[in-house]
This record gives sequence, C-alpha cells and structure tokens, in this order.
Amino acid sequence: MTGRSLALYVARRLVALALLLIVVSFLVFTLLYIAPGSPEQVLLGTRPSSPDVIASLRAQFHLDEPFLEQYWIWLGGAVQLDFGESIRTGRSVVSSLGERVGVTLYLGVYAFVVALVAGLPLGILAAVRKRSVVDRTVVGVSVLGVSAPAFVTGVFLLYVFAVALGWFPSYGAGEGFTDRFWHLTLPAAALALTAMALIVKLTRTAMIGALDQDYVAFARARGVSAHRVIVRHALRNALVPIITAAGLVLTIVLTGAVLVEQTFALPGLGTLLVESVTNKDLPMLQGVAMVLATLIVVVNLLVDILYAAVDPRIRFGRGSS
Amino acid sequence: MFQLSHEELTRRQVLRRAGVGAAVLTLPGWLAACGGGDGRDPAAAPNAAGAPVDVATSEAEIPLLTWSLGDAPPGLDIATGFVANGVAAMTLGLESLVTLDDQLAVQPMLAESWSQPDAKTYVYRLRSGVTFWDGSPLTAEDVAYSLGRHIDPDVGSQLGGYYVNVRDIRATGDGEVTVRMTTPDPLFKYVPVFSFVTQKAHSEKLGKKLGAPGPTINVMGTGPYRYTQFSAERGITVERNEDYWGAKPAVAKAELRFIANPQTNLLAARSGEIDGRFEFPAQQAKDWDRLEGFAASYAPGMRVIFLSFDMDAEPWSDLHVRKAIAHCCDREGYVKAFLGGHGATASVVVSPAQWGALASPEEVEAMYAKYPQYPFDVERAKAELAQSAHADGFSATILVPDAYPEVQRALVSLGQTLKQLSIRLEVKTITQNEWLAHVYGHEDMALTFLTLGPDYPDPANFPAILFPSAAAAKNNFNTANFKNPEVDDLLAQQAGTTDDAARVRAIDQMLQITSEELPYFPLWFQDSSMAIVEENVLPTFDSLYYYKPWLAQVRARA
Repeated sequence: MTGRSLALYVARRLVALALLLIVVSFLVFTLLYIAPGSPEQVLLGTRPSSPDVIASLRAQFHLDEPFLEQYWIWLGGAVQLDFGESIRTGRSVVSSLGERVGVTLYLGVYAFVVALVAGLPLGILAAVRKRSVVDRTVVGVSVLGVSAPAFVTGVFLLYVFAVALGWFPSYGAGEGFTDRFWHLTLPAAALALTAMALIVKLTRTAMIGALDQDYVAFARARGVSAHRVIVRHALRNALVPIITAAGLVLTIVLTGAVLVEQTFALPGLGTLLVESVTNKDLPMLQGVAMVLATLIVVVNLLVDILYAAVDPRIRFGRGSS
Repeated sequence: MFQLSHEELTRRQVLRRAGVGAAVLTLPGWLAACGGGDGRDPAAAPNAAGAPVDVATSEAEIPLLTWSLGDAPPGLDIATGFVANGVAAMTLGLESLVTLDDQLAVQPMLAESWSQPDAKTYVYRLRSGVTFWDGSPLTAEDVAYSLGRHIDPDVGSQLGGYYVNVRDIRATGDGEVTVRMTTPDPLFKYVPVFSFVTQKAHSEKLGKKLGAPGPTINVMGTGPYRYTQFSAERGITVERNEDYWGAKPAVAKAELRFIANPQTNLLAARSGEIDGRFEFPAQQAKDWDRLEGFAASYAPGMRVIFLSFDMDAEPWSDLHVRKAIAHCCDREGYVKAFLGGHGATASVVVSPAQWGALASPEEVEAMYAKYPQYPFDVERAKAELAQSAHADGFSATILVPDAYPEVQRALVSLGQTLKQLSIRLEVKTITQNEWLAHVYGHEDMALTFLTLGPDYPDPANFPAILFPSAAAAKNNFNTANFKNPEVDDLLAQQAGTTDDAARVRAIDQMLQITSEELPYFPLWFQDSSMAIVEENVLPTFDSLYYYKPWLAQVRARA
C-alpha cells in the first residue's frame, strides 16, 4: 500500500461522508417536519398564550417559511459550522454538543474496550473448546446478553451494584478521569453486555474456521505450542471478520447509549437526542445526528484502514473498500 | 420521633385551609394587608391559622442537600424556560416582586407594598436595602426591565400570554414601578409571582445567553442562594447568599441533579445519593411510601384531568349523550385504583384549592355542593342514552398521550363500562407532541382528553382558557366548542372588576352553567407529591411549591 493510494482512498471516503451528512440531515429534517406537533406548542404547552406570542415564536424559529426554505436556512449555517441555536434552551447547538459529546465518547470507548477484552478471549475459548460445556455456556450467556435490552440490564446492575452492594454510584457521569471511570463502570458494563455477544459469536465462528485450516494442522504437526498456534496462526487470520464486528459494535454502543444514558442519568448525546425529539428541537436534533453519523463513518473508515495493517493482501485500489 | 402519614398531612392541610376564613380579603382589606411591608421573613411564611408548620423543626444548619430535579431544565431565564422544574430551580436564587404564602395569597417579596390606584394600574414600592449578588443595589430600572422583557416582541417570552393586557411597565420613581394595563385584569396580580427579577446591566450584556448553562453563571439575582454551577452535565449547585436581605435559610448548600428516569430516582434515593425529589409518578407512590429513611407527602393538587365533548359534532352535541358518559365514569374508583388514592374526584374543572384567598373553604364547599354531581350509575346512564338520538350506541376514539398512563387505564376502564350502553370507546396512545398538535389544531375535537395545570391560585384560571366562545378556535383551548353568551358575559364581568365578592358570584354562576350543560366533564385533580429524607422537612410544600423559595424553607426535623 502506498501513502498516495491511502490518501486518495481517505479523501474519497471523506467526500462520501459529506454527501451522506447532507442526505442524513435532509432525512432527519423531513421526518421531524412531518411528525405531528410544532416547537411553539411544545414550548407553550396548554398555558394561555396570545396570537402575538405564537407569531413571535414562529418567526424566531423560521417556522412560517416554506419547507425547503427552512432546510436551506439550516444548511447555509451548517456548512459554515454554525448549527444555530437550540429551540428549547436558546443556546448554541455547537456548545451544547461540546458539553455532551465527552460523556458519550468516554462511555462508548469504555464499553467497547470492556466488550473486546471480555468477548475476544471468551470467543477464542469457545472455539478452542468447540461443542464442550464451556462453549455452550459462553454462547448461552452471550445470547442472553444480546437478548436483554441494555436498559433492563442497566436497572439490574444498578440494583445489585449500586443499591444492594453500594459499590458504584447510581447516576451521573462524575468529574475528572478517575471519578468518571468510577461513574461509568455500570453503564459501560450494561452496554458492553449486548456488544460482547456479537464479538463472542463472530470470534468463535472465525476462529473455528481458522483452526480448521491446513496451516494450523501443519503448525501443530511441527510441534508449535498451542498458545502460538492460536494467537499467531489462527487469531491473526480470523481478525478481519472480528475487526468488522468491532465496527458494528460501535454502532450498537452508540444506539444503546440512548437508552443507557437515560437509565443512568448521564448527560450525553443519547439524552440530548431524546430531549431534542421530545421537544421538537430541530437544530439540536440535526446537530446530534451529524455528530453521530460522522462518528460512525469515521470509525468504519478506521476499521477499513486497519484491515490493511492486519491483512497485507487488502489494497486500497478502485473497486475495493 | 413521630411519623407523618399522608392521610394526616392532607387532612391537616385541609383543616389548615378551613381555619383560614379570615384570609378572605376584599380589595380594601387586601390593600391594607399589603401596605404594611413588615419586612417579614419569607422563609417562614406566616399562617393565618396560626400554625406555621405541621411538624416540629429545629434551627439546625443543614450543610448539604442533594435534590433530584427530574429532567434538566432548559435554563434559568423564565422567558425561555417556563417549566415547573425550571421554575423550581429559579426560585432558589431569583426573586420576584411578590410571592405566595401558605394560603396562596399574594405576599410581599421584593416589593414591600403595592397599590392599585385604579383598575388598570398597579404600583409596586420596592423594598430598600436589597442588593444583587455583586453588591449593587436593586433598582426600579432592574424590575421594569425584567418585567418589560415579557411584552417585548423581540424576546418572544413564554410569559407573553400573561402580559396581553399590559400596556407598559415603567420605573416611576426611586424604588417605584408602575404597571399600566389596557383593560382591567384581576389575574395579573399573580403574574409578578413568577416574573423573576434579574439585574438589567448584567442581563443586557448576556443577551440571549441569559440563564443559559455553561462555565460561567449567566444570571444575577437577589435571592437567598447564589448559583455556583449550572451545567447540563453536572447539574445546578447553589450556596447560601450570606448577604441576603431576609432570614438566613437552614440549608447551606444544595446540589440539584438531573435524573429523569423514575426508576433511577428511586434507586438513587435508596442508595442515599439523593435527599429528595418532587412529583414522582403516581404508579411509584407505593415504592416511595415504603422507602426507608424517606417521608413521602402529597398535597391536594390543582391539576385537573378532564374530558371535553365537541358540542358542534354528533353525538356529543346531545346533552343526554354527555350525561350518559358522565354517569359511566367511576371517578372514585379511578382515583383509588389508578392514582393509589393520591388525588381527588372532581365535580367541576376548578379545584377547591384553586380558590386561594378569593373565597373561604366554607363558601367553596357550599357552592360545590349545589353543582350537579353525576354519580357513577350505569342504570341512569342507560336511561340518559335512551332519551338521546343515539340510543343504539355509537363508536368513538379518544387520544391519550403516553405520558399519562393512569389516564389511559381509567379510560380503558370507562370503555368497558360503556360497552353496556353499546358505546365502543377506543383508547389510542399517542405522543405528547401529537396530542398538543391535536389540541392546538382544533379539528375533529369529538371526545378529547385534556389536562390543565395551575398558573395561579385563582378560580378564573381554567374558565378563562376553556369557556370563552372566542377560544373555540385554532391555537386556543375551548376544545368543546362551547358557546354561551351568558358565560361570556360572566367571564367579562369577573375580569372587569376587582370586587372579590362580585368575582366569586360570577365564577360560581359560570361553573353552575357549565356543570349543567357539560361541555367538559372533570375526572380528578392530581395530587402533587414530594419525598424527602426523614431528617429534613419542607413544611410549606403544596401544589404550587415551585413558585416559592422552597429550598430556603427546608428545615431539619427536631
């Protein structure tokens, strides 16, 4: 792989990202536009108001402009990285996002690491001990993990570890790195449980495939140690599907965060997303959608680049991705 | 230590209200009562009945109180953040011209007195010696600016609806603010209660950032607490303002946390991480009642849950149909089964508590006794329906937002009863926004579920929203399309006078007419709830707690 082909590849993907963001923003905008309710109704509720108040609020948020005009106003600001102001709080969307993105990233990375650190060895173990009790137990537990929604496991973990045992705090995100680590352990565990199942299943399948290969049999015949066979020969070759799974895991973690953040009262993007949808806060919702879409695309790009590092046969030419 | 059960508390509160016949003030009496400006301690609101609290409290300092505020409020500016939990956060640090006491009568706060030279003018005299947190004195300019924002079209204040009759607000002298109205509006006297005063210079400098969360504190007030942190991430922290003009509160520091999920709130309380919260859901009442180390209390609420019948559309335009449905509502059963008893059945849309200081509990009771009651009686319902043009029954759909599970259950139960009358009622769950769009849109209102929360303790609050013929239109809430010239006239009469007795008569009459014609059928009034650690008490808790400086009123239990 040459540096030039990599740069070209990344550039192409970034252009695709820009196009994708436009499509996503238009879809989000349209969906919220056609959803019933109007921001000024949400702001005023069933309190007495007057035509003047309603007109003034509608003018403030450009609600009387035609549909495409409203989108155009938003897009015009967005290309200059001005995402406007939240309808609900009147604050700049960018600063609200900046305040929230840290918690979600921390939670996402934490959950991802937990899922990987727990899921990878368990998947390998299940593959090596194929069709044994160990295998069935690991697979069984992971099926349970993927089936139980994160907000249910969240409440369960809260009850056991925060209330009954009192080891962890039951809400909030904490301040500073260590305090936050402490606060986010239970939410990360709840999220990781779902994601882990995917890693276990994919690692197991990929490893079983790799362990059946002739080169593994030859390595064993040459008397290579079991540890070396598993890590150097089998795992390295099973990594491509596992890395693909890692990309998916991130998506699971980000969507799961919406529910887990609610359960643990974490002020992250998930909570913000829910608040924005409930309040028909279009500028804020667009901002959150843009950040999440960018995160997912960038991580998948990193995953694709990682492929080449793991498997030198993969090239960034035309027709590959 | 003696335990406080909720039945006891509610009964006591009722008794307390009952003992307040003396609080019925006619206009001259009201002016006399306000003219004093005794510099009284707003933290310990006096009680006309003589007993300020229900439990023995001590003066002991409470170093830290951690409170769950539910959702994160939008900000600390009332113009853009008029929601109950936002107001509950604002009352800690911000003050208004007047406040409410135990009997929900208007009492001095930043204004030491006020007068009404004529029906269209309010003159407020400011308390002297009040300073903002930066040490600068409170001026009439600050007050005129803070209230004036709500009539400024550029601000687009959410309070604008309460200021529609205001012509202008001006500083008319040293420490004097005058509000001039275009038409008399007896309800306006309550509006300053939630029109918080901030420093003009500081607020103007902040512009749209006023009250916003962030690394700096974007609000400057005069209250018993100053904000030391307001972040969407970490919550709100307040510390006692040692230069406060009034009495020193017992709580030195408080942390307000944003925990939306009801289950998480309960678990956080159980693990000792929060000391209390307001307004837990009715389905959770039993859990909070049983929670060790906490005392849950319930105050008679003014929020009304009711049905509206579209009087312009069949079959609802038929009075017999409306009466038949009314007789099928087992209101007592609903309150018992779906609210855990934490509510009161309603006979009219105005709760007895909302009469505030306008009429005594005895007067209110006498009036309410003569309104038609429509007891739960399927046989009478059948008889009513037989007299209607729809004796063979019909089908109907009612929309209920997902935020009201107890209402859904009650209406499903009503649907079961209605089957006996061959009326098929489908209860459809929708989102809050869909429901608001339906109510604002004012199309095909048919049978609609509605709920209104109190804006102020005055019985005209809901009638002024629901009854005017002119409000039977888009963006207004006469969802029943109820048009009655006599009621319109009564509404105008009570709005045009400041004579309390005349207002009581007019409101009584319109409640009588509407409970006979039945455009709306009330189901229940929802109690307000609060849970607080047993070591502490909030003696002044009632259903309008968020309008009061509640944190300054928290005391240690003796």
